[in-house]
Amino acid sequence: MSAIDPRLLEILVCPLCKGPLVYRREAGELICRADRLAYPIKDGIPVMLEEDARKLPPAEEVA
Amino acid sequence: MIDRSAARRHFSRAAVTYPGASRLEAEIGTRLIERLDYVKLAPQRVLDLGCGPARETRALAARYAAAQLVLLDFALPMLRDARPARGLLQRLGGGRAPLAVCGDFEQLPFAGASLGLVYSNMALHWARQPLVALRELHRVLAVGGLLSFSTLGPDTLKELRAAAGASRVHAFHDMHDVGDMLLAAGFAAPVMDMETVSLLYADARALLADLRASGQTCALESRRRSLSGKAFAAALRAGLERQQQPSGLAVTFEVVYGHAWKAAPARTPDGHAVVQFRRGAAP
Repeated sequence: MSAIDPRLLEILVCPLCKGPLVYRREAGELICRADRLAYPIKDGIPVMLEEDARKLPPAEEVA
Repeated sequence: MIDRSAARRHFSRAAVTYPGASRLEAEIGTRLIERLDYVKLAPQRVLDLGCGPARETRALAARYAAAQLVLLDFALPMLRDARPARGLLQRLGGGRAPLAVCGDFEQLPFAGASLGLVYSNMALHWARQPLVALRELHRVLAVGGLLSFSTLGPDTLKELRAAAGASRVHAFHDMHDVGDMLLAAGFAAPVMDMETVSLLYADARALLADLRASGQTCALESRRRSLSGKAFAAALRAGLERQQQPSGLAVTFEVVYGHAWKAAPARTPDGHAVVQFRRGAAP
């Protein structure tokens, strides 16, 4: 279960650059295009920490 | 300086035992909630910063029934354990369940001006750099928003410091320094005060067990990475036992309270002063 409450999407930004995030429902991730980081959503709780984020490989497109 | 990753590990590991080993935090939380009695505020969103097991969630939800509650902690297991309370609130409060976010208060994942009240009970002394955290809080608060918090001051655990040596125990900021930091972070009209609380433990072992069970063991970057060793543990216990009275071991906590507002900026970001003009007669 990695769905996120839509009310959270209204206020969440990337903790590093404070830029907008892209919500990837299938992957259960919130993505910052600028920092190329994917923040995981665990049990509906977004984990907005750089040390837990997945670094996007150069080839991965962010739609 | 505090190693945030280590502190996060300690708190995550202690999620189950924390509620039973943090009676001071519970008591100060009650007092901090009571202080909100004197403040008139109708926030849209309320953030509980460093919520731990989210003990004050119910009180905050009752007080700000129209607000959306947001919980933030850097220890994910604490937020998971806060779930039952969230379910209960959802049944009581018509669907406005608190929203949980795992994050760091020195790098907040919230949009600017998105919150009307930040409540933080006994958390800010875990900041690596309190000024960085306060700047972040100023950023996420809307104009007219309030920061209300409790934290720990320099006399905290002085008995432990005497027994273990100052380098082994976290240093805490004086309330005057915290007040200066609030101003430096852009806050207006900060009000600070403090009280000294003495907790009575049965003995040294009980104090150390509580600190461990609440995840509040040393997380200083300069801490020894290897196990402290039996010799140190024995010296520490002996040092604490020397301070013990027949009634038990009294341990000091200096509790610092603060609140401060985000006022409308007196200057725009490019340095122009803001002057208000009103049409019509003088008020």
